[in-house]
Amino acid sequence: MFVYFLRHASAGQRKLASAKSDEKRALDKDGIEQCGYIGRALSALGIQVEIIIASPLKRATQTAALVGNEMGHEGKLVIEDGLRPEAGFADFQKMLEKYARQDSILLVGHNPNLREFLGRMISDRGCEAVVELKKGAVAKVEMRRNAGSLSWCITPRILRTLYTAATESSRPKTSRK
Amino acid sequence: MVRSIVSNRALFLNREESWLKFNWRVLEEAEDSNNPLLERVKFLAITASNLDEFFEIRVGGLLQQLEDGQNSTTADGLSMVEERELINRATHKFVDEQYSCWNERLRPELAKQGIRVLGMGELDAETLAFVDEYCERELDPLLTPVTVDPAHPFPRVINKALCVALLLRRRRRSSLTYTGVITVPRALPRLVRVPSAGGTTDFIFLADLVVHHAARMYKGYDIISSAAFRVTRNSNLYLEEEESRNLLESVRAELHNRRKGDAVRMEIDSAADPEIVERLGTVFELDRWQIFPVDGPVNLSRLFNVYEEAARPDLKFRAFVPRELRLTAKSRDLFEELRRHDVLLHHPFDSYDAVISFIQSGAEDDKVLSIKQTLYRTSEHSLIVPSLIAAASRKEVTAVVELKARFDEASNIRWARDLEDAGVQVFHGLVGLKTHCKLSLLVRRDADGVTRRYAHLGTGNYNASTARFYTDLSLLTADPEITAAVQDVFSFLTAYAEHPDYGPLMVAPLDLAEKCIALIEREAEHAREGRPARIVAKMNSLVNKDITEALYRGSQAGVEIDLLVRGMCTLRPGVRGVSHRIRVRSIVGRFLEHSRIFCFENGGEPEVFVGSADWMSRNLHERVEVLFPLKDRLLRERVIQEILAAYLADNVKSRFLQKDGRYLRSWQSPAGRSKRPPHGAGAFSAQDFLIALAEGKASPESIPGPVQRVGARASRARVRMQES
Repeated sequence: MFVYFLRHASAGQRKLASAKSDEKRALDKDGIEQCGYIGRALSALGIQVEIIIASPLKRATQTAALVGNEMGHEGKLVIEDGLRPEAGFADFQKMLEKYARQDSILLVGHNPNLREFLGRMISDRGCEAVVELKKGAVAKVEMRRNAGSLSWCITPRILRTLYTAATESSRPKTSRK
Repeated sequence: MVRSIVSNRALFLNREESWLKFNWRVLEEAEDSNNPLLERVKFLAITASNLDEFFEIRVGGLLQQLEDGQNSTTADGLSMVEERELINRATHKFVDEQYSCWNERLRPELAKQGIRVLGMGELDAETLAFVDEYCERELDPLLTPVTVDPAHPFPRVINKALCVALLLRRRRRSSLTYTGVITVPRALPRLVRVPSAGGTTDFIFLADLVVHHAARMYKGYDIISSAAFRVTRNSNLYLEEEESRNLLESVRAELHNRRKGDAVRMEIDSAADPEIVERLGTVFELDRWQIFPVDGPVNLSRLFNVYEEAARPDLKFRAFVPRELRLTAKSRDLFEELRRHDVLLHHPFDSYDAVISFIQSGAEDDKVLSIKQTLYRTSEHSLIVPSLIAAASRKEVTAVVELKARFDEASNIRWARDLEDAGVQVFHGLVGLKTHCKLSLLVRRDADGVTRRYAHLGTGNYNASTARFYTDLSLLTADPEITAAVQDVFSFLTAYAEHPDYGPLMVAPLDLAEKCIALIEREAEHAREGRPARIVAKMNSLVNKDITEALYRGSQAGVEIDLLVRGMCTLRPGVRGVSHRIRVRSIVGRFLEHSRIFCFENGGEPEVFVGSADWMSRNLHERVEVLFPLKDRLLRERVIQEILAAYLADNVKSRFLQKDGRYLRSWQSPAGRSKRPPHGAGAFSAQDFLIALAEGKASPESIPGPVQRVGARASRARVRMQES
């Protein structure tokens, strides 16, 4: 089974007001752009997932919806508490068991625990590899019997840089301003 | 006198125009006040989904060909550009009529019946509060307000997905306008039930909710204009089959790509600002004619949800109980019955349960050694696939799964994998040929020690839900000749072992076309020799030059030909000296006519063939199809005297094709003066009659004579095919 770990995209700064209202924090302009890059990249790679699962927080659900749309995914978004920012690894594993029969799934969550889940999934039991997950970054993990292996991890900034470089014209700039 | 016909263009009707006329007939049913109101809404929804498919496949294919620089001419002599123009005019006219039907007739009538589809402006304070809460809870987490500018590309717009486009202006910065887009996930219900104080059933369209909520999402902007829109894309699967390593994988990948096809049409709210329309037209590279401004919901096919969710059986067709198969007293089980005689079922009047239990008993009965099954389209809840999976561990189970059944592929791929995992031998049919025949074969070691074959052959797909509203025929038989031939067809499908002959079956693409033509020519010969010569054929579509010309020759030789063609027909009937003995009818009513029956008088020894093939080039040459004879005289008589006779006598739901291409009802005369539609005892609807027959409330003796021509009174005399 393939598991794609996607950290939600940029959604402004944490509000100091209640935790409840922070859950409703929406993606900002950068975040929307990041989703676009990631979504288009996943689509270009021909990646299809059977289910997209997100934490209940708005920045995660919006990320999941936008990226899912770019991928052409049309299934219903699944909300799981096991991906909440405060969820522990045990919660996460229990949640994952429900989807063990799927071929490939996309998970949308938060740091610091998403990074921890990823690190532990690709290590031996009891260990945790250190992986950095930027906002909007996605990592592909191939799950095998005992542990997973990390295939690749890509960030929106890498995609933007590559895209800009690829579309740069080599002609000299004519303006002398 | 036999005149040779070599591509005389005036003798063929235009295929696309003919299809559009079929859709007009469905729209007629939506406008028919004799139909229950919610059924009319359903018919309207069907015209919309039919039109979607037309654009996705036919128009998409045509535009693709134009783009590729192809220059072919249609059978009726149009260039591709002319055909595009024809489609342009005809579809715009059709869409105007659809929305007129909705706005001016169905929506007000629904309101009178207490079912209201409300606009945002019609909501009271309490409903508005509900709507706001709904938006916050269900829409807000999933919708993201995207703003499009030169640096930020348009988000992906999936085929037929609902979207909302907005024209925005930054507050306090007046000049620049921006385009905003909101893509609406397909998982959200398109029609939302809202509470009502007055006991009515109220709905509101999701699109309206999104537009309403948009204001809250685009903070810092003024919304100048907003409009729902929907893009339809070319959905032809362009598969490079020969090169693909794994067909399953290719279809999966191709399914994914289907959504990326070029935009072929855009439907957009007619109140949209011209600026939005133009920007979208540019983004999707659409010509002006491909843009359809509509005064109502952009996804009319979703009206189907009104039909489903309004709990009003009084506004729907009266439910009827299909006739269950009853075994004769002497037979202990279905197998014993089939050893005595064949069984013919006419669905949905005869229950489909008999077919399901045939296959289920194949799975459960220990004496059944092997099962072979074709699967073309199958619903998720099909009972057949689980039966096959259950049987796989105990017997030899073979399934030929057609992955490329249009628009059903996703469902078929999942089942193919599940079948394989269970140990079923799964084949994907022959490269380049869709497996369209509907066959099932059981090998059983009976109690007397003899191993026999039992087969099901049908005109309809193995899908329990469509079996309730499609008309189809099923033959269950233990006839050694037929079942051996079915076995041969399976070996053709699975191991590419070709036999010289599959008699008594006719198999496409091998010999079906030539045998059909031979049957028509044999009838012509009978006519020339003065023997009784008649053809009555029922099918979904007739679009094939060779067969059409053979029919013309038959008519010229003196054969009386009655064709029941539900959908497209490019044969031009009633032309003096060419086709004046040919009559073409289309029946569009409560049930989708789907059965294919071919009946030849054969000089007094009638032969009846039934099967999966229409007389269309794709059936005859690009698919594996099977036509089977009815060997049992009683079954032949049933088809001729009960089924075909009823259809030919129908004067309520039949439309009669004229030589100028128009379809007229039985009470309309070609000159333009209509009589009153038949009513009371004078009205005869074949489908209603067949229901009554299944319920034991009617008998074949009460079928009136066939309608001879439009505008004439029905003949009382029964014209019967004679068995010698």
